Amino acid sequence: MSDHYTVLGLYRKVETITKAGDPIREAFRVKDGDIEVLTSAAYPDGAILDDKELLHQVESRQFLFPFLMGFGGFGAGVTLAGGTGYIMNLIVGGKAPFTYAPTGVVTYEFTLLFGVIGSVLSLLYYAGLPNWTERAYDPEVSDGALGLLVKLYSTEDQEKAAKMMEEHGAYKIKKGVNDF
Amino acid sequence: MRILKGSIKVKSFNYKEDNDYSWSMIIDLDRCNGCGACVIGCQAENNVATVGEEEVGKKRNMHWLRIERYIEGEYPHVKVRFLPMMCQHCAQAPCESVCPVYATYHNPEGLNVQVYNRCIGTRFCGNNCPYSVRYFNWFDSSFPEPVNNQLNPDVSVRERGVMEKCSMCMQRIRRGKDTAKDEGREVVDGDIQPACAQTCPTGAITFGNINDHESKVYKMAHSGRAISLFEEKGTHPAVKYLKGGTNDVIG
Amino acid sequence: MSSDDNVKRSADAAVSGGPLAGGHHGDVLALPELESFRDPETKGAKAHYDDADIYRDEKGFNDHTLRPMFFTTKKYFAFTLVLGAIMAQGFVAFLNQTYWGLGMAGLHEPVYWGAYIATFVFWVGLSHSGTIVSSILRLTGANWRRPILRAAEAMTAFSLLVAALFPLIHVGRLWRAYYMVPLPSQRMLWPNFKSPLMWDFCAINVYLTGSMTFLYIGLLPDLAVARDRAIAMGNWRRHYLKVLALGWRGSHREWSVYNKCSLFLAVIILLIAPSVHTIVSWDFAMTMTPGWHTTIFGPYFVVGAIYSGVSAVVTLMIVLRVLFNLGDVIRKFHIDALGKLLLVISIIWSYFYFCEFITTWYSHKPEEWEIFEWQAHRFPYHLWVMLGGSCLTIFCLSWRRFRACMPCMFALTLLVNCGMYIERYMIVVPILSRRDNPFMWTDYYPSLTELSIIVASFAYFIFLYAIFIKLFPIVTMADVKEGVVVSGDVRLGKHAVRVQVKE
Repeated sequence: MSDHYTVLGLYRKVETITKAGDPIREAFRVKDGDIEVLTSAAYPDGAILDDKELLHQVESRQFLFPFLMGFGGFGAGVTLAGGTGYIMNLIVGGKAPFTYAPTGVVTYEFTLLFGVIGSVLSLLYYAGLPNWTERAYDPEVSDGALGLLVKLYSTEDQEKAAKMMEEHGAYKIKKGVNDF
Repeated sequence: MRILKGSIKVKSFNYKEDNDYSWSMIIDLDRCNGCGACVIGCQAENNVATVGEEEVGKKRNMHWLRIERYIEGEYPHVKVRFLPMMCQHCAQAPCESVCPVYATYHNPEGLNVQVYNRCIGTRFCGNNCPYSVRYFNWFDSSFPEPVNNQLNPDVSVRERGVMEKCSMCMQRIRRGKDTAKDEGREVVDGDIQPACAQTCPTGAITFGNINDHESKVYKMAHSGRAISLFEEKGTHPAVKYLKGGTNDVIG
Repeated sequence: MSSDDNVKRSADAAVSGGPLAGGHHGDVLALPELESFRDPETKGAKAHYDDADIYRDEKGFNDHTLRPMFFTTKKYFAFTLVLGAIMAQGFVAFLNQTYWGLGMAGLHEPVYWGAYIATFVFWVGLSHSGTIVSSILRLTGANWRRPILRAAEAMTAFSLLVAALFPLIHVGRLWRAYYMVPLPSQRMLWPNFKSPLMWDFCAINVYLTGSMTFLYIGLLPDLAVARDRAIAMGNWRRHYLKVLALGWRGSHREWSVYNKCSLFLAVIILLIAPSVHTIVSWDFAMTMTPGWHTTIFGPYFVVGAIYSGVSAVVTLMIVLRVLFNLGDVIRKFHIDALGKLLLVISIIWSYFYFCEFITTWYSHKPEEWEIFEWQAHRFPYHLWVMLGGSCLTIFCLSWRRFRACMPCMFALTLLVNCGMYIERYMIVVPILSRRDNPFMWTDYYPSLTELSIIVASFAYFIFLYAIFIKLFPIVTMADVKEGVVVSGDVRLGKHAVRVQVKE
């Protein structure tokens, strides 16, 4: 993969960053996934950038993780609790080797357990975490600054984008290589 | 589908029809005079730990078989009744299904079996036993000199933290069956005698195969005096009692 | 631009665009600027929010809420030292018991389960508020939930950690307890899934995993904040915070995925939590022991668990307010709201008491009646605390002024949990003392070993919590910030009303 260059502009107000995002996107024909906003709180989808469509695609697939894992858990539960009747064909309390109610209880728990794991996996997979490498970021984001992060493919574009951001009210600009 | 069948019809495991042997014990309450010889016989045969005076005071005695005394009436018209109580070997044993590690289960001959090595000591079985006949090893058992010389080599000594209870002298049943097999015949009455039955001076305890319709236990179990303890619990015990107290000579 | 202008402007916009109806939230959003988090000039109009000037700037808010984490007083060390000593004596008692045998506990035939199991049920019950309340409030979008979520969720996780110790302390052969884990082995050791204890084992493990995950996922954005702060300060906490924050940057994609994941987890936890205490109740209800074998036990336990859990949350909130100077984040308003919640639950709980007692009293079934008579005869004061406590709770919590009085709420919620502990004890012990076989009726007193271990368990819980506060942010900062982002003031006649926007 060829090198890419990033610009991170920090803003103080939502109005300014909202105005900065779209011109930059148009000027450099930035693809949907190549522009990001860094915030310290969850803003509603589309509040700052028009990325609703992209995120909608992600979200519509995200439920598959817990859902499919839940199925797996269901299978695991049935196999464990029900299958025990086959491998341990012992009679306890006059009950049959395979019993529905206990199998149901254990299956329920396993389904939910796998659902929990699936939810976490969905977060890690779609959010690209964990990623411990040095990435374009500024600690001021966690103190309330709003960051506009763009991925570009040439140094000229990087310079231009940085300038544009400054024009649109960014109070701090950070440039980087291969750290989107 | 055989495995599913039972869950619809709970009582499908009929020890009386599916197997050659179904062990049973009949205790004639009219014959019991509460001497307690069976308790000692059981204790000696099964290496049951002696816990000492202090622990017995805390109700931690381990007698697999105990004589329960019930006193009827007001002084001076008092009657004492005795009830030898041991594991009832229930066909639908409440203790078995609650064990998380299969340390207790039902063997094909209708006995409730305790596997000491599997037991982790959750004591759930003890809580679910309506007869309270399961005993827990609160401490390691000690057999000081010279008691250690009388330990029965056929029976394991239990570790601390393990549940135990009457096994209907499993080791004797095994030996009886082996002898009968060597002689090429079925086990008949008199081949096997648990320690308590052997010790009982009045012959109140009878042991045998209830599948054998010629056996004593079969006849006694169908005598009309036969009752099961806590019948309303639906446990279907293999131990049956012959009602006592109607005869005022003993009692 | 002054923040007052901003409010007015947005209010005008809201009115012209049709308030709350016009679809796009941008019209109503009043607080895009984070500097004007709080608006001292309009204080009067927003009665519920007035003591929170701290939100005026986000950095200040971060500093304030992270203060308990980064700054430690000498008193704290002294306190943890005391806790450590209490835990140590419990540990010695436990080692002693493991070495000599369970006879060190006061248990005997037929009271095979005693104070250990009662304490286990108590701790599992206590764990039920945090995640249940947290998920319900998350799912219903209750705005006041925001600052208290973390503290409640942490309580769940830690009380479960404490609870999970008790079955281990209680079993006869601790060194063989792994037989309950389905590990394939040559010896064909395999758990029996028909046993309620096995269900319990599964449920507790699932709940522990679930609530730990819930806690961690909730922490993730705040870990990033704490990480940045720790790096800036050069604090030693940066080493683990860097790893645990997973490189969180707060990009919009992350937030979006994260919110979805929180939603999944909230739903799943809401399904797990009631099942856990139902299964714990089935440890009792599935037996044929009179007094235990009732259908009411499932819901009874769940409601009792939420009851004791919510009151513990209130206790804890008050402690946090006082000890860590978080009174402006966890406000009286929150205690009041939790008090109302507690009121509803205590009414349901009292109803369950009534149902349980009246059925037994009326049918007068001898074996169950014997247990009730024995309870009343042997434990009259316990019953007074237990039943009186729940009546008193309803009475007191109905008063707004009582709910506003922090020492009163502290005392009442402690009383509620004393009552709930007794309740668990009364479920386990008297019923086993009066079993089916009257020859075996005995009484039970907890031994010194049991008491030491139980006291140590309380110290352990507080210790875990105290450590947690020093290692992780205790206030749900991201949620509070989100609440500020999506809320605004709408002018309604003479008043500026604070509204929260939902998509």
